[in-house]
Amino acid sequence: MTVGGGQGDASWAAGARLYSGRVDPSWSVAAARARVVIEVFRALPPSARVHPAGGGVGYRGCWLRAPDGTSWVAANGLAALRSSAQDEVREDAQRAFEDAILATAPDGVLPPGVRAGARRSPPRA
Amino acid sequence: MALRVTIDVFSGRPNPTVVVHGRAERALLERLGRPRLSRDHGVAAPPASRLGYRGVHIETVAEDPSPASRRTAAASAGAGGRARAPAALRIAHGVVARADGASAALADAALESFLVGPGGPLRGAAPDVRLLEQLADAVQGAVPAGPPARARARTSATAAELPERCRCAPRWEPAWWNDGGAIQLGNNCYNYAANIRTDTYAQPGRAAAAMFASMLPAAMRAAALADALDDAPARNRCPGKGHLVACFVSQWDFHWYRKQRSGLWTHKPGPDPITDVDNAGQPIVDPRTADRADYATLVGFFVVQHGHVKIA
Repeated sequence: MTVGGGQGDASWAAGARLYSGRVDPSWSVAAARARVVIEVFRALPPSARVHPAGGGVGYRGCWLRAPDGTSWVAANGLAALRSSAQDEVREDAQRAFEDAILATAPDGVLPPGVRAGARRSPPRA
Repeated sequence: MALRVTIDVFSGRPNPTVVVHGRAERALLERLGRPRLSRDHGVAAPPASRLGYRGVHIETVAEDPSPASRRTAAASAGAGGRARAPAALRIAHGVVARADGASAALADAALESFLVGPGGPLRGAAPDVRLLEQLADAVQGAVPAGPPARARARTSATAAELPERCRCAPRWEPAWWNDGGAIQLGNNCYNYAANIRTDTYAQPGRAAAAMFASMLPAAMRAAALADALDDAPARNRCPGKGHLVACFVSQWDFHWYRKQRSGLWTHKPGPDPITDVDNAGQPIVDPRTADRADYATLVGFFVVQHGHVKIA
């Protein structure tokens, strides 16, 4: 499912890894809003842990993608920047970055409770 | 010295175990090699505290005191010396680990399936050869053709405890589904359960122009039947033909599981890799008792008749 953000730059996109049978929701994000989200990422402390992949069924994390293909992912208390030049992992224990991505979703795109559930989910060791 | 080899698989019954020495011991040590165990390279053995297969334990023990064993051991020692035996190791899922957590990838990738399989040292120690066949299948990730069921030894007490073996069920093929590309991303739980790659993220009922209109179990069931899946009783039994699948719904989504040849269940969470464990990291003996997150409501069990079902 792709939902137009209305006022967004269609080249920036975000989404949640949520469903198993249905297509995961994704939406466009305004460039200005995306820059705010990236500032949240830059404020996070670096981490030596590995990529924050969430597994299993149910909510497994979210992502933000720039027009040049650079992407950020967040799950399990970690956030990561992936680009052709580097991969960079940061601690997101308070889920500030993850919540900032999910907050860009237009109303009705995410089932109720996803943002709250993401904040409550325990970090993965 | 000799080696005790134990398959850690049972919960209530004693685990199958055997002591190997002489030529068998040397062969095992050669295949084991000298793994460079470390806690810093990111290779970790799966957790030991779960039901079902948990690995193979190899321990150094005192030599069997029988005269025949002593003769064999002496001959072995005299024939060019012997490799250094490990004190206690655990092998599981391609990883060899020490009790302190240090681990390494197995140098001989086939060693684990050999140890747990019917051709390995536990052949005479397991209560039923089918247990070893299932373990070997699970470790190898593929199911070799076996002899007819009637040719196998049967013990009714064991048959009740082992997962049923489903000869018509699909193989466990993670390398094929988990390609990280078109196959993995374009096929969901329904594709995987039906064992049909469409690259369309198949939706129940869509191929028959009767796609579900809600996440109500009745709607999902009707859509599956429209795709020519057969209704099946809610029993965890292999069908005579085809393979068994099960569907659950949450308020927002559906999720399918399929029963493997091993008798255990596997699934594919959306575009993610296929997996043989539930959200709690446990093998799935019955999807109704698995950790399924929000997929709480059982839609039903169905049989996929191969070549008959159409999904899109």
